[in-house]
Amino acid sequence: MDFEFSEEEEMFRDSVREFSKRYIEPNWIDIDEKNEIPYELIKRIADQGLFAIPVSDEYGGMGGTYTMAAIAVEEIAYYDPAVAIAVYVLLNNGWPFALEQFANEDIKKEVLPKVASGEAFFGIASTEPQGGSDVAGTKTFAKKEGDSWRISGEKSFISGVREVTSLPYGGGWFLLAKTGSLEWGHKNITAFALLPKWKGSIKNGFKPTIYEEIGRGGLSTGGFILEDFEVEDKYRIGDLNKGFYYVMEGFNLARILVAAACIGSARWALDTAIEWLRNRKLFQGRRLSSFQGIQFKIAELYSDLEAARLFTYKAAWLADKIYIEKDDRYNPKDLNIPVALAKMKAPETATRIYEEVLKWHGAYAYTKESNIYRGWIGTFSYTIGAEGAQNIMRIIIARDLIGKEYIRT
Amino acid sequence: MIYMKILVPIKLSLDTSQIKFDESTGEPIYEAIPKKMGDADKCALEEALKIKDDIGASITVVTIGYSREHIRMIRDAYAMGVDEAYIVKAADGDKLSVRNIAEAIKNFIDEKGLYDVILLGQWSNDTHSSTLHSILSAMLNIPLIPNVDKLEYDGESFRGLSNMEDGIYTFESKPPLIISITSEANLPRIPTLKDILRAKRMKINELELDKYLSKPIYVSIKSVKRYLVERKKVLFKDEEKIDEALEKVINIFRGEGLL
Repeated sequence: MDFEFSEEEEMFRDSVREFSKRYIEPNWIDIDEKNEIPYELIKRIADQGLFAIPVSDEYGGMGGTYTMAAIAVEEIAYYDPAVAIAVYVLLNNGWPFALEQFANEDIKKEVLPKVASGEAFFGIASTEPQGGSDVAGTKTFAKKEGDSWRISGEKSFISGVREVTSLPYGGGWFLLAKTGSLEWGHKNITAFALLPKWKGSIKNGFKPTIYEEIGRGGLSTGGFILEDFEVEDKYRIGDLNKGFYYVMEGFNLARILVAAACIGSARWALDTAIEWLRNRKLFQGRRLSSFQGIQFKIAELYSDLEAARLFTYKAAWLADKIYIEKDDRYNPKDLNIPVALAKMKAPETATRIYEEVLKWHGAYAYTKESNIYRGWIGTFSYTIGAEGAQNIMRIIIARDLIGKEYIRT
Repeated sequence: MIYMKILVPIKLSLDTSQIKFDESTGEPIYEAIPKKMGDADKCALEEALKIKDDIGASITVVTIGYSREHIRMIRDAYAMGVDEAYIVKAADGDKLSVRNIAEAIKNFIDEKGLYDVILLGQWSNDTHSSTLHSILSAMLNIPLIPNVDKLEYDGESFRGLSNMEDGIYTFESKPPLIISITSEANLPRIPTLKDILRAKRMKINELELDKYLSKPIYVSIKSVKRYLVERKKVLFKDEEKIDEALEKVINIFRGEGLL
């Protein structure tokens, strides 16, 4: 067993840290305030090679590993605790990597280099107004017409709606639509690379809306209605009616990076608090850090954070075994529990850490000047959902431990 | 395209930004302070890489020492864009006297052939002697442009702008020459993942110290004591006259033993 990162991984972490200190730390509050990541910063991140990290060189990717993608997201989140930039980076790593696994050569060669260069965004569009966890209940449907599909339906709570429409080149999502019967079920869902804005122009039949969220301001969340939106068959991802399976693997991959974002932000919160506790003096010069009530809490929170970190990097390591090294001892389903553990533990730990850190800072924490609340609200979004709700993670873990046949109601 | 041969000697230094000081004694707490390429050395390397980008060059780095951190520093240099790297194996390389280091570098240059430009950091983060460039210049008998904040090359001569205590100097000289670079000269590039992966494949050439140095002399820092800063508040009332206020300040300084 080896718990060390490799020399290249350490070098990469240092380079991302240096980059983040130089270009992200001075801007994260402004970005959170203005609800936009400037395109110059997106280009800079791309030039630094932080998109499509695990994607192969032949598709314009960086030829790195999934562990490296997790390292990048964790470090960026430390310097952008509100996690908007970290989430932008995670989406532009996780879903392009999923696309590489399942899409045909033409799509990969067309889409992936544009994502890697920062010209395009590529995320996930599965949630619909009736719910996000019930993927089998997808109502968006696609009808075949010659060499194209006509897709209609509505997607909601989708990251990157403004970015897709505002980036000069465009982008899109890994989209699910029913292609067989419209009945509830996962065997009649197909995945498409939906690119409503591509090569600079927005196509007909795409009606976007931007939501006003309470946190993680730099990255937009919105929805869109598709009305007979035409998608050429070449943009179908993989086999017909297999989309559900592909997206579940994609979720597993993306969840690892969501966990990495949460632990990066939580690390910042804990470091910030420890510095504060060391220097804050009360009761005739006694340091706050000298109170055991606080020391014990720090120890407990750190143990949770370290556990979340171990879960996250174990899952990333396993993703490398499966998808990068193609180690035949493992298969994609082996990721289910390790990923669910990471995605369950990391956002909840981050939220707990933020709650304590806010209390330690007293009334100051309740002011906008303290900025700690930005990380709190940002990471809290991942306790609600995004790449899978927390109770879905619990179901995945319990189902595997107890056995499918014993949990049916 | 002009093609230049550049040597950049680099030193593993304490990452002084990570040093914590004991509040009561002012002494640094050395435990677990990470080491890295010196800030000014990194700026010197960046200047070399800028020359390579502009007019073409092959860049060699050499360091003295032998540890995992030295190997890592060499990999960092490769990731930034260096073409060739040498490590002169010396267990206590960081404790060698500046004279020794200059001698070893001179012998290395004698063996490899003279470089067009030797770029060095103005000083190292931890020892601050700031003399290596002048000793090396004397040993090699080539000119030195010291403490450069801004470097230019017109195809024939290098021009270095140095911000000295009494004014800003512009030096000019033709290669071969030595140029020492300050840590304010530039913002060193950050390697990308592809650079890092490429660096892993590059060869690190190992050399034996005794071939380059006959008589090692060691100098090490025994202690560092930071000046303790004590903040005191002296309040002046608006109605006080400036002369009276100044006298009050002078008396406080006298009381503290500062005057």
